[in-house]
Amino acid sequence: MSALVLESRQRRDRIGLKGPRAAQWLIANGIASPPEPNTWMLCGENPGSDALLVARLGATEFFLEDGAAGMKLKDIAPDLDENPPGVYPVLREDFALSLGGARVHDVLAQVCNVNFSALSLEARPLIMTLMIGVSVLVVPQGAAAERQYRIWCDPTFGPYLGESLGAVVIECGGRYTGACG
Amino acid sequence: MMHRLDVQPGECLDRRQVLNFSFEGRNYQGYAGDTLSSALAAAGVAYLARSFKYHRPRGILSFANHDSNTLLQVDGVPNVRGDVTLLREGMRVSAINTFGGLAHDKARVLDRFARLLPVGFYYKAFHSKRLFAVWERMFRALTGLGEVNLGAAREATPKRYGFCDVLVIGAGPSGLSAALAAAENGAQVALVDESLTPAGNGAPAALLDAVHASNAITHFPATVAAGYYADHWVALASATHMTKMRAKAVVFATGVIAQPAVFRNNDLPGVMLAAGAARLLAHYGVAPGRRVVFIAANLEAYLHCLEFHARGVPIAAIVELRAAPDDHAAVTACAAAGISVLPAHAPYEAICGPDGAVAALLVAPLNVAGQIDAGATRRLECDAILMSVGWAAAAQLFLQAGGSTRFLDALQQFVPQELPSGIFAAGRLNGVYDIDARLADGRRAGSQAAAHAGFGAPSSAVIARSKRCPSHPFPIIDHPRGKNFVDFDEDLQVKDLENAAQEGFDSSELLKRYSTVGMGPSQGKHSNMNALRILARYRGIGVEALGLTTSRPMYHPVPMKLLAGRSFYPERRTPVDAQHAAWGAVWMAAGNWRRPEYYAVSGESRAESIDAEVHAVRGAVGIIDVGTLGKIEVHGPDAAELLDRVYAGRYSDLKVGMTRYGLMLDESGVIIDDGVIARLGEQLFYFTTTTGGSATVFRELLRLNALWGLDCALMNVTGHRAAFNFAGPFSREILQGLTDIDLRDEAFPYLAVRSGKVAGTAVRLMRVGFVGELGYEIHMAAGNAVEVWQALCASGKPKGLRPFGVEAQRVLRLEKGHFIVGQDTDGLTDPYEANAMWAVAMKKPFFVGQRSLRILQARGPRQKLMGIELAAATPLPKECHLVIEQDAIAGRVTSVTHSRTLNRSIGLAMLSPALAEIGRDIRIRVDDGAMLAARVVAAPFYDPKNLRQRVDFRS
Amino acid sequence: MKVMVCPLNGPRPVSEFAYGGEIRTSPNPDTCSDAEWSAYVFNRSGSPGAKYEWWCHIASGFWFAVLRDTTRDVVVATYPAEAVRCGLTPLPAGGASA
Repeated sequence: MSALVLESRQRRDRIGLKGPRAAQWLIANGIASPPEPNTWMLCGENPGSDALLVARLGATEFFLEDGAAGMKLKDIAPDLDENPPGVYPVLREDFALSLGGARVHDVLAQVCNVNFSALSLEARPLIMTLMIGVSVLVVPQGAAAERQYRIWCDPTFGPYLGESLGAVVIECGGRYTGACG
Repeated sequence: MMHRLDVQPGECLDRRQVLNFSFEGRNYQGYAGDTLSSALAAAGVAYLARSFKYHRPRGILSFANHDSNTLLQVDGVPNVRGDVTLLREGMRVSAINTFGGLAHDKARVLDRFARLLPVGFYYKAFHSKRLFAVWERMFRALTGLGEVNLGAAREATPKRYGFCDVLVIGAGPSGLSAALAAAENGAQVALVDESLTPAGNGAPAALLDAVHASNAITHFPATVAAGYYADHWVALASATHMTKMRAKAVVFATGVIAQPAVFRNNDLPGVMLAAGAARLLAHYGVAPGRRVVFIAANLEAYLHCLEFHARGVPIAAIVELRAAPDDHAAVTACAAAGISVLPAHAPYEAICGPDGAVAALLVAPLNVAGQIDAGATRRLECDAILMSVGWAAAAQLFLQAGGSTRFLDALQQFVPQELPSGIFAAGRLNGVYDIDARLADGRRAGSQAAAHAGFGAPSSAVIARSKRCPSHPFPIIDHPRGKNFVDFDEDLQVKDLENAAQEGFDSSELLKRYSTVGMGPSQGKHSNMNALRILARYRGIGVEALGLTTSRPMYHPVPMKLLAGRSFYPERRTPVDAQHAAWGAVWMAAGNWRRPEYYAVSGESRAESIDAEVHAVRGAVGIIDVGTLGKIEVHGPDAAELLDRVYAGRYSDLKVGMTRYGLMLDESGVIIDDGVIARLGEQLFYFTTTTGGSATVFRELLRLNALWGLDCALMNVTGHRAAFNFAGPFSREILQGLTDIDLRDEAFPYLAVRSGKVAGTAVRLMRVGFVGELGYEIHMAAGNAVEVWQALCASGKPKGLRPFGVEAQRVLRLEKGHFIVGQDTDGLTDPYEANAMWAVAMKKPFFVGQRSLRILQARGPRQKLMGIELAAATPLPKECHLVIEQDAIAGRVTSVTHSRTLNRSIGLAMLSPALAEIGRDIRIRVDDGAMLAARVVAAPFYDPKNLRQRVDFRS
Repeated sequence: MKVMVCPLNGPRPVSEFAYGGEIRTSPNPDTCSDAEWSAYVFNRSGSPGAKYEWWCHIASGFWFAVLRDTTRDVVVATYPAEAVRCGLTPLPAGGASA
């Protein structure tokens, strides 16, 4: 199992979509939309660095994040600027973290009341919860041994969440690294 | 005298590793594996503490952390539990609750004045108001255990959430077999036990091995399940951290707690519970004495006796309270070993030797009615008295979980009766005593708990309770001179409880509170059962009619540091936090934000800095970070309709590109929030809320939108958008140099909103007047805020720009007469009272609060928010100082400041309607009772005609 | 701490939720008397029994309705907000346990 690392992931394009026609609009723009609420999927030919993460938050809201080398959100921006009816873009300047490696569940158990280690990843669940008092969006990725948790929160809580999680990670023998794309 | 024996089979010590420590200044040695109590016992130290009230010497009683006799001060840490704390090299240990050391405690005289300290003493003492202070001083000096080191460093301990299918509390035979049965059914099991070294308490070795081999069982040794909370949430406290364990089902295998016999001087060092002495012997190789007397009322006494005999501890006699011991091989074996048994005898008085410890026991015949023949006492020489007379169910946590119990006469024990859903009990707690039955009962409970959690089918086994009675119905012996202790923590004697009952406190709950029985550190573990028996005898009823008291969580003492955990304080910072710091920001907390109160400049006082910031805005230009304002977008065909309903003003007729003030009311018509609503498109509005209201206002709007089902969507972008207010006579000139938006008055009038670019960044620009100067609120994506801030500061600096903080903004807005929701208004202020009806469109078909406003309109205001001014020389009153008229309260100051711009003091005050007239003189009472003269004046104080908005930047 | 089942997010501890008060029907503000309106605004029934309540899952901003038996402090059922618009099943008078 890899070493415990908490990474800050700020340099990616993100956007939110809300509205009764948001799901249809995504499909019309060639972006697969997760059919179930609170699930996510990766969209793109190369599931590596350019894949677009599409997360469905409830019934009519989506959160999209481009991969480190992704261009998809830049491609669709002009279309969104034309105010398609029933599709409302949401500014997402989230603070983003990625947590993974040995003892990752040890860290999560100290900051969150959700039992992440018991999650079944087959349904690609997405969790909206409170982590040490901050609303977060959590997407678990990867098989058990290589489990990574992507975590997003309001950017104004970012320094607090990053520093607090980082301190727990370091105490558990891990590292907290700065921006890694 | 207690002493260490040679190596005992199965002991927990590593005798190759000698540890040095000190107690009360003297040096001793113990072994690795020793607890503080066992090491002191092995060293022959009989006294470990002074008792709480009478300062009597005390030694080991339960050796199970079920009494407060072995609380110790260790390396500056108070109330360390000697029974369960491992010895470490170099520990400096001292006794607690002494005045001048354990041996020469000055307070030991209190023992001779015991009759002056009757039950309910505190209540009686504090009854007199005249002597209250005298008693208070005395009690504060005398009471309390241990000494807190106020200079101790903060220890942040981790707190964690735990999850399991089945939580088993207690790792004795029934707990172990419950854990294994649940694990075999497929459940994930957590097994908790408070012992330092869970040895199974008599469980077969094969079971212990199987439990340790199971991957499905997580062990929590040396951990106390200290509190039960709703939905199977249990606080697990270990020495280093707290685990909040959420289980799907819980098995209580908490067992029973050994109970003392109550007789005169039963608290002398050397009088111990046999179960504790047996553990000291088996695990730590410590013999309780060289001549031991057992006080017996159950089979366990004989089993222990054989164990002591086998290990070479001389036994003087067994004093048997019952008419005859059990018909059991162990009893026969004791007789065969030549141990004399005195049936139908009771301990009458323990005799104190010259060393302060027990030297002999007077015993007396006991008839079937439970009466002592005090004229026929016999003296048994001994240096240790071991009691095995009965047990009390460890049901505290079970009761917290909502279970109910009933008292079984045949067992003389409370057993679980009603089990809440998902709660199971097993073993001796259930009244099941024989080892095979305990194992079977554990398997049953484990299987049923696993099935409740969704694993396997539940066992339908029925396990019979013990046929032998393990507890004596009344192991309490009266003595005319008393000192027969029931509660060792609180120094309560038999007569104290009887007196309390006689004074009318004769239910178990009242008795507990009045006498304090069970309220000491051990929470009644060794005292509640005997206290109930005494109360039952006094009232002539059975124990079953009284019932158990429920201890509240934590039922077992838990260090504060475990409860505090790491102490997380969520704090919000705006994107230009570092820029504020660079300007010398002095921080203040605003809700969970940190904001600059003002910017410190070397050579300036706080007041001077705030003044200079105000001056910069009035005379040149200033910038304030208003990113803490709530920022919400609403999109969709019904966006205007939603705003029309939730705000008191009208927004459906607001032109695209314009803003309008918004006042939010609750259903009773009270002002709850305000902000600025900007229309960016036919179906798109962007609006702000107060800093403190952003989360709750957004949440309430979501609720109303869900309730009404309007075709619009709300987004909270508070943290995703940054915002600055750039204000002052030079603001337009400077900003025009950084933006493509045409800022001329005709293109961008007051209260307009425009989208464009500032310093190359997409922004929303609003022309606002909150601080009373030409000004622009600049809203942009959080990620671009730093570059915009820096561009504005760089361009503004040559013109005298200063960033200004919350304090300067308060002065500026007050000069303009703007109220702050929550400061100038309170939970009863309506728009009439706040003079804000200009922001209310009563003719709209509906808005929240409208119906109540109609009623309020007819009733007329009960108070009015008015401007006030004071002469420059008058000292400044404080916010909330009262306005007095004809010796009655007639209002209060809500905001006040000295305005250097206006050279007088100004403020807002909520006044009774009679005073709310321009020109009226009022009087304000300040802290020292002095009255200040003030006058009601028209607000705004500064630029009432809003001429500053018309200044052309070219002029 | 209690666990509540959110219709969107599943079982979560109550610390993840905000309470929004009892779900009550407003009288028609245009036709009701001042007394009726005042009673609606200021009076709450504290009697124990089954009640419909508003609850919000904080992290997702999701509002839903809860049928809670306050006698036993048990969440009997939860419903999405649409159910409130469509009309919840009326409770027996006096709020008897469901």
